[in-house]
Amino acid sequence: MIILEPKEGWITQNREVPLEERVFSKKVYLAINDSEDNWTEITEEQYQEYQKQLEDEDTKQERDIYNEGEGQA
Amino acid sequence: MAYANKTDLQDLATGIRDRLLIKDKTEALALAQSKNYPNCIYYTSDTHCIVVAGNIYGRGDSADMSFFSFVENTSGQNNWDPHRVYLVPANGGLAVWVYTNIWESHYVVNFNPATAASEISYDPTSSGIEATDVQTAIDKVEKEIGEQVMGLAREAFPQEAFTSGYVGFNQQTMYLGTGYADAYAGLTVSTADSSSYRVMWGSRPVPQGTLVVATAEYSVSQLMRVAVASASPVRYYADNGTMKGFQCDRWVYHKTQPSHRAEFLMPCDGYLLFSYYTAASNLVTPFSAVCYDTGAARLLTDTVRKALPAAEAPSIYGQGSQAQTQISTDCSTIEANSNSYTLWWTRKPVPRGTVLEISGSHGSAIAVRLCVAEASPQEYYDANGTMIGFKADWPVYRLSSLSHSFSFVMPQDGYLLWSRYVYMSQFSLLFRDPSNTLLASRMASEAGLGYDLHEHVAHIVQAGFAYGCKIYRDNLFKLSGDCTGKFQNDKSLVYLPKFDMSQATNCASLLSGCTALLAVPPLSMAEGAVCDSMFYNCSGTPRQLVIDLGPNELGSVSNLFASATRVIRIERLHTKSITNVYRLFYNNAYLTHISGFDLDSAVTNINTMFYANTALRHCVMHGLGKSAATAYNFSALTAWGVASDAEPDARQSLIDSLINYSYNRKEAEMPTCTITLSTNTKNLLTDEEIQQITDKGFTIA
Repeated sequence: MIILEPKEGWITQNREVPLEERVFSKKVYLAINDSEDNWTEITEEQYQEYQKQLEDEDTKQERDIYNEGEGQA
Repeated sequence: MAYANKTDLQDLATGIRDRLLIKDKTEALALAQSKNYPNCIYYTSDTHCIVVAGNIYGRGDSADMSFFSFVENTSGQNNWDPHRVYLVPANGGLAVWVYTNIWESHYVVNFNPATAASEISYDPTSSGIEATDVQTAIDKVEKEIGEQVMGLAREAFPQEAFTSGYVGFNQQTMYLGTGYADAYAGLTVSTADSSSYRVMWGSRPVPQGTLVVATAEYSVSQLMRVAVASASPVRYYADNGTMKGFQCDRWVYHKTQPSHRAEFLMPCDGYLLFSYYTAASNLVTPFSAVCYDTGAARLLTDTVRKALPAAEAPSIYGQGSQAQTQISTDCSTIEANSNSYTLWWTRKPVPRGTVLEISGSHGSAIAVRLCVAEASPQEYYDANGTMIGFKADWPVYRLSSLSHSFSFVMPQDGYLLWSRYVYMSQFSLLFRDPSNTLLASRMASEAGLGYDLHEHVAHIVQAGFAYGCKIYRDNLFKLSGDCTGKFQNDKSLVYLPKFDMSQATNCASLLSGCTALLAVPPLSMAEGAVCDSMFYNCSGTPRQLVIDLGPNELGSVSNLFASATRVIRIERLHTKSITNVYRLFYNNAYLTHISGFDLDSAVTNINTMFYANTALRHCVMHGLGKSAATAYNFSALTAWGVASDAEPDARQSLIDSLINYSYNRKEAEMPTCTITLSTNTKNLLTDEEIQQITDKGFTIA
């Protein structure tokens, strides 16, 4: 079993994926048919940038669901 | 046939009221302190709690969600409890947020003490009101809230009963226990001890089920009394305007102590009466009485209305008579004095709320008496046909006069009985439904729900039955075909009846927005039924719903349980052929248990399936990895697998989902699939278990 752990930052996919599907982890256990090449390490700063984007998206979703609720009420 | 009795009605009202329990200051303070917001101060009243929270965040950025979490541990405003008002700082000023989801409205009060101007631009309802200081804001909010509460109550009974947030009182300092009241032998009469005691009463009857809170605080022990009267005390004035006394039909509260809080549900329709000490020297907190609409009054009214089909209304006015009947002297009975007096009564119960107008006259003073009985006088005959007496539960009128003219509202369903002089030349008794709704039946609509007052279970009440709440229990009611939004946003729907759902093909939004639901029976959904948003936004408290959707495969489930914070447990839920799981369990921080569902076909919107499901400990998933999806994000399930006394098998649900019930993608030569788990959940797995999971072709992140 291969375990990936970052030296400082975070482990994430080594390819373009939609923001909501991007994985961040401090410890990744690779599937038996997975490869280290599919993963990469990013810095804390890069991670924070992703988080900010996600947060904005969450806020938007929250307002969406709120507005949906208002619409149904 | 089930017929409502008083105890049942009271139990019902209590049950309904329980869902509206108001958070108190202690709880609010503990909550705030637990969240490290020590600067909060609180203002509470019986209607709501205002939290003034210092140094949090401004409105309009994502940090606002922190405040919402602080309040309810959720991120959605739709989940706020009723009766709550929150003050939060915003953009350097303060904002007052009032959210009352049972009344389908909320308010925003924006004010900035520094600039004395509104600086808040975000107002989701455009119904905000502004204030330049805290007290003004609170006053405005209180007024708005009060009007909301009372507005609902007005639907059920005359608006005069509620004015300015309080029962509309007449006020009279008086001595009681003499004169008129004495005529009611055996009845309890309210007595005010001295001129320092004031008696107040409502100008109109308050409906059964109304929550009444009366408070007063003294420095020493003082007496306070609360009672309910079937007739208005106004009737007990003498011609010269002197109050002679009045009849209290039911005592509610009678205590001598320093601090008073009479909190009760109106046991029946009636006039509220309060007697309390008014001397300022001993008064710490002035007497206050507020009535709240709990929803019970309207529910009960509806039930009664449904019990009396309009077509039968004319036959209510039947009469029977039994002359020369001497009734026992028991305080609850009515008596006929002589051969010249005759008792009359209706053949069938007259519905609560009916207005009766009585008039009559004679050449000399003649006594007329009226009362309401729960049981028909017909039941009080002995074996040889002699009437032996009957029980009059509510004496209403007794007066000896040349002329009689008064009206009253039936305090409850019951047989109306009157005794009058048989030679009385003019006497009339008119039954009137002033709002023309009393006898209206809503049974034409399948959506009409009845309530079994004995079993406390809702059932469908069909039209065409006799008087009383006859309940059909055996799944007579079917939902079929397109039932989209059938009960959507029905805030008065408390108990869902049992349905035959086998022909209901589309149940989208069936119960969405039903924020008062207390129980949902197992629903055996039709094979392939559309269930999108079926329980969407079933929010509010108490959170106790257990949902069982039966053994059949559902057709679609988008938003099925999204924001359904009343739902804490989901039993059978079969989704084997579902591809789109958009927000299936989204945004429910109170859901603790999902017995099982299927991910065999799920490929679309998988990462929206869960959000903020922080209480979900037990969750069994079948077919994980079987579809073409290559990523499952379960990081929102921060308690998944963490066992508790209530969820002892939580860890096993994790193992079953990831190992025992998951698909072997390696064997199937499918691409790797990544499962993201929260740190909590990941730490529950042993190295061996992780190995088993990765061997099946799953990467754990």
